[in-house]
Order: sequence, then C-alpha cells, then structure tokens
Amino acid sequence: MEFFSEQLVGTVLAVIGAAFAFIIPGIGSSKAVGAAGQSAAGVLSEDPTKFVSVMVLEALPSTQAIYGFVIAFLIVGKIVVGEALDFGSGLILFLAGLPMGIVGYVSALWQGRVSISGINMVAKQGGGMIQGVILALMVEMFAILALIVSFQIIGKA
Amino acid sequence: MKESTDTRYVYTISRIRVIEQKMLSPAMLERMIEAGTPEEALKVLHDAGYGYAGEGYSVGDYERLLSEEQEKVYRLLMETVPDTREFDFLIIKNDYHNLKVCLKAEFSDQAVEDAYLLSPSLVPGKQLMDLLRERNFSGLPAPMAESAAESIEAFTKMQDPQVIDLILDKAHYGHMLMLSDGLGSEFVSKLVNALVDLTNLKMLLRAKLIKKPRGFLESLLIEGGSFDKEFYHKLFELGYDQIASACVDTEYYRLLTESINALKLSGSLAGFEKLCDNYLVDVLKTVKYAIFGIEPLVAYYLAKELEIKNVRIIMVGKINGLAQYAIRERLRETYV
Amino acid sequence: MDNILNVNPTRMEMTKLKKRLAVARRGHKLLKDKRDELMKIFLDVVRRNKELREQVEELLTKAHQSFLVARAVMSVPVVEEALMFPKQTVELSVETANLMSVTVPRFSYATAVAQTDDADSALGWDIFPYGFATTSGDLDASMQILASALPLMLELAESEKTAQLLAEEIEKTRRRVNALEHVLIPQLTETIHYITMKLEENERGNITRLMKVKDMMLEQTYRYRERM
Repeated sequence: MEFFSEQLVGTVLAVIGAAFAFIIPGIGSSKAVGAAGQSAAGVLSEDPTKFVSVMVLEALPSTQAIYGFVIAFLIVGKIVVGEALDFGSGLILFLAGLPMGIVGYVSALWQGRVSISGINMVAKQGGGMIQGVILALMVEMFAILALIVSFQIIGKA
Repeated sequence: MKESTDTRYVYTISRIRVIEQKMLSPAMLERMIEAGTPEEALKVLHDAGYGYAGEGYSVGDYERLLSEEQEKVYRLLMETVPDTREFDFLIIKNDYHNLKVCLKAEFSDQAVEDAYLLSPSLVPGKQLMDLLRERNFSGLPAPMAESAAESIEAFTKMQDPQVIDLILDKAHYGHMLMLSDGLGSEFVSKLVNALVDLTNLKMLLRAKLIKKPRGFLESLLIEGGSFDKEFYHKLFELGYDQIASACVDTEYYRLLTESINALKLSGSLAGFEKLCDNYLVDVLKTVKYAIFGIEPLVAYYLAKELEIKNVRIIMVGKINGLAQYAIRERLRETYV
Repeated sequence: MDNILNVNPTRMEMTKLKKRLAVARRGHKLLKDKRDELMKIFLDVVRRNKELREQVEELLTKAHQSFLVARAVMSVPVVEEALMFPKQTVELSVETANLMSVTVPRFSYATAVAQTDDADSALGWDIFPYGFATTSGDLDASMQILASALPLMLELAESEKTAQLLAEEIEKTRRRVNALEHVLIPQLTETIHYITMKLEENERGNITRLMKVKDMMLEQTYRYRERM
C-alpha cells in the first residue's frame, strides 16, 4: 500500500462503492434494455402501430441504471475535495453501494425478461401494454427497495 | 425443462409473436371446412396472408401456395437469426427427400421433375442432381454423402427401390439427431427424440398391419430415441392391446391406447398419425411463452408445418368433395 | 309381287330354288339354336361381369378413399417420390379361347420383381416401393387394396370384352336368323309358288292352244262350216 497514503483509503473505498453502485446496474440495464430493444424491433418490423407500447416496456429496465447513478452521485457527494474521508465512513459508503449494485443488476436482468414477455404479449394482443408495465413494475419494486436501503446507509456515513 | 437464456433470438421471437397472430385459428379452419367450394376455402387462406402479394393462386396451385408458405417461414428465420446452421436439422428432411427423388429417377431412367423436389434444403435440388450424376459427394454433408453412397451400392446389389428409401430415412433421422444434439437445447432434443420414437412406433404398427416378418422391422427402425431396438422387437411380437400396456411407463401410453382403439375400429393408422401430430403440438406449446433461445423459433417452424398439413387436409377434402365431418375428423390440433 | 326373285320361271330353276329353300330352312334352324345357346352363355357372362364390376368398384372406391387420406397428409412431392419407382412389374399375356366359334381373349398375368443376387433378402418382396418413415399408413392400405384389385380388374376386362364380342355375335346371328326367316325363306317360297303358278298357267295356255289347233285341224279336214 505504498502507493496510497493512509488517509486516502477511506476515499478510495467510497469511490469504489460509487463505481460499483453504478457500473453493475448499468451493465444489467444495458443488457436488459438491449434485449428488450431487439424484441421491440422485432414487433415493430411486423406491426409499427405498437411503437408506444413497446417503447415504454423497453425503457423500464433502464431505471436500475438511473438508481445506480443516483446512489453513485450521493456517495461521490460525500467526498469533499482536499479533505480525506476517514476509514469508517469510507467503508460505510462502500457498503452502501452494494445493495444497489447487486439488487440493481439482478432486478434489471429479470425486469428485462418481464419486459420482453410484456412486449411479446403486446405483440399478441393490442391492449396489453398496461398489464405488461404493471408486471414489470413488480420487479422494479426491489430495485426501489435497494435504492432506499443504499440511501439510508449513505445517511449513516 | 431448463430454460434457455440465449438472448440472440429475441428479435426474431418477438417478430414471430406478431406473425403467430396470423396463424390459422380453429375458427378459420372451420370456416374453410364450411366453405361451399374449394375456391372459397382458398379465399380464407388468402385472407390469412397465405401466398405472395400480387400473385393469383387458383385452386390447382394450392400445393405451390403451401410450399411457398413454408419457405416464407424459413426465409424469415434465415434473415433474422445470427447462425443459420442451427436450423439445418429442420430442413435436412427435404434434402433427403430430394436425394431419394434424384436416385430413383436415375435408376428408373426418368427425368427429375422440379415439382417433385422440396425446398428449402441445404443443397438446392438442381445442384444435388448434378452432384449425384457426377457421383461427386464431396459437396454434401458427410452423413448425407455416406448414405447416398450406401444406398447406391445397396440398390445395385438388390435392385429394390425400397432400400433407397429405407437407408436414406435412417440416415435422415440419424443426421437430425446428430445436428439437434449439437444445439444443446433440452427442448429440441426432446422434440427430435419424440419424432424418432413416434416414427419408430408408426413403422412398427405399419409393419405389423401389413404382416411383415420381424426381419423387416430391423431394416426400418431408426437408432436413437428413447427406446432401444430390443424394445421394439419385443413390442412387435405382442398383440395390439399389449403394445399399449407394454408402453405404460412411457410418455406415449395415452396416445397408443387411444390410437389402437381407433385402429381396431377403422383398421387404419390415420388416427395414430393424427394423435402423433397432436402430441407434437403439445410439445411445441411448452415453449409458446418462452422469450429466449432457439426453441420458440423451432416451435414456430414446426407449428407452421403442422398448420400447412391441416390446410392440405382441408383442401384435398374440399377438392375431392369429402364430407365436412370426415375432414374435421382428420384435422390436427392447432398451435394457436 | 316384289318378294319374287328375278329368275326365269322354269322347272330347272324351281328345282334349284327348292334345294336352296331346304338349305335355308336347315340353316335357319341351326342359327336359331346357336343364337339361343349364345344367349345363354352371354347371360352367364353378364351376370359374372356384374358381380366382378361391383367387386372392383367397391375395391377401387376403398383404395381411392385410403389414397385420399394418405394424400391429404402427404405433400405431392412426397407421394410422387414414394410411388415414382415401382418395385414390381406386371407382365400381362393375352391368349385367345374359342367360345361358340367366338374368339375371346384370356388374360393371364405374372408379377415380376427385379432380379436380385440376394435371394433371401430380409426385406422380402412385396408391393411397397417406399420407405415408411415419411409416408402415411393409409398409403399402404390403398396399395394393398389396389394390388388385390388387379386380378379382379383383369378378369373384369376379360369378361367385359367377352360379353361385348358375344353380344356382337348374337346380334350378327340374330340378323342372319331374321334375314332367313323374314326375307330369304318367304322369297324362296313365293318364288317357288310363282314359278309353280307360272308353269301351271303355261300348261293351261298350252292345252287351250292345243284344243284350238285341234279344232282348226278338224275344221280344215271336215269343213263343218260349209256343210252347215
């Protein structure tokens, strides 16, 4: 640990936490929205009138990345320039990144599946958009809970 | 069954979910059956999006219409999936058919008529004809080349056209098993296994029905599938009723009991064949809501094949003036 | 008197005609017997023909039905492929038989299978030239029915042709009988009658002439008129 001075450990931990909180759900959301986007394109190439429905459903799994962004932003906000964080606060901020990171990733992937199912449902019957959105939002809840937990932990730092 | 997480096909799957809506529902098939003339039945098909736009189809063209419809499905798959080789196992059936046609035509000094060749196929029919004429098998997939050489040899020795079919049928299913195992999809393996099992059972019942010796069965049976050859030989010695009860532990018990009852009533295997198709539709329906993997695509392709079979039953029935109940009795279950 | 043959009414002619009449009568009787016998055979043939036709039609209807079912579940190329190269060839030989001097055909057939080096092949020779994996079971049924219908169809063709030939012969015989009965025999009898009459008349004319000549000769000799 020659490279880092003792005081920087807390800051580095917080930064790693922030990065984790964003990168992991970001990957999940990208994968999920990417797959849902392909699925949406499949539907649209046969039936362009369903654009609005499939677009809403496609966008749903992107929320995890947004929540990750919020948490990362809050964590980074705790770091003051020129002032080293103590190790305890740094660790708490690092741990705060974990719920959002892990739950965000998993829920993004699964919400992606529900979205694709929803898109396929819309493909089958025109009016299924609302049901599809509601079903996908069930998964959203866990991401929101993770967001709250992460938020609370940040508050303890 | 383990679900696939392969996301490469989501685009095609969603596209197919839209197209699936246009598949012929039982109500539409019923409309075709109740049509007064074959022309009216054809019109129902036309309304359902069969055929290419701007082309007129008369009743006599229905066979062309149906084969074009199957090609349309295949073309959609080919245009939208990342790896087209994965669907080879679905179409090699047509290659083996073309191989049979070409060989039989050559041995009986007939010209190969285009109308007898099937497409889509791995090797286009015309090209296959040239390859065979030159006895150049290097352009064919290995199992196909081997079986072609084997059937030529067997025919020269025995002068019996049936051996061509027997050898190529076996090779076809062997090839299909090989290709489908390579996909690593549980659903596809189950499906192909069921196809092999049901084909073996069908051939067993037919051999029994036309009172063939046991040795003949040996030349029919396809390797692979859920049962070994011993099992079929054992079944062959049994009476019809015992065949069903001997299969009590298998998936096909219900199918066999029902179809053997039908067989005893009518003396025909039509009931069995229908129940086999219904069984396959049930297998296909297990992936009706899958969102990932190759499975929904395979299911759609085969469902379309069965739909076309239904349409053919109706069209042939209508053209030949079959009674409505007789047509209805033969219809397969639909996928949608 | 248009029924009369254009002949010289002479005694010689009459004897000839009488001979012809006798022959005609005998021929008429023989032909009538032949016609009756042909009729009897014809009715038998027709009865058998009807039976055969019913059988064949029933078989063909069944075969057609099975084929239709098979055809409904198989695409045209598959059906064509299955049946494009037959396994057996049928050799049909035609002989003739004599039935009441009518030449009728007799069909006999032999199914020939392709030559093989492998005499005890496990497949066994049969009528099915196709594999069973891609074809429908109803095709077997229709093939079997058609195979069983073949001998009957040949027999039917045979009996139908026989019936047709017999009918022609009966018609011909009947026409001959009628011609004899209604034309030739009446003509001959009438001509004979006519000649007889003619001859008698000639006879009478002769007698009259002779009497007249006698009168004239007596007159010349005795000159009765002058004496009066």
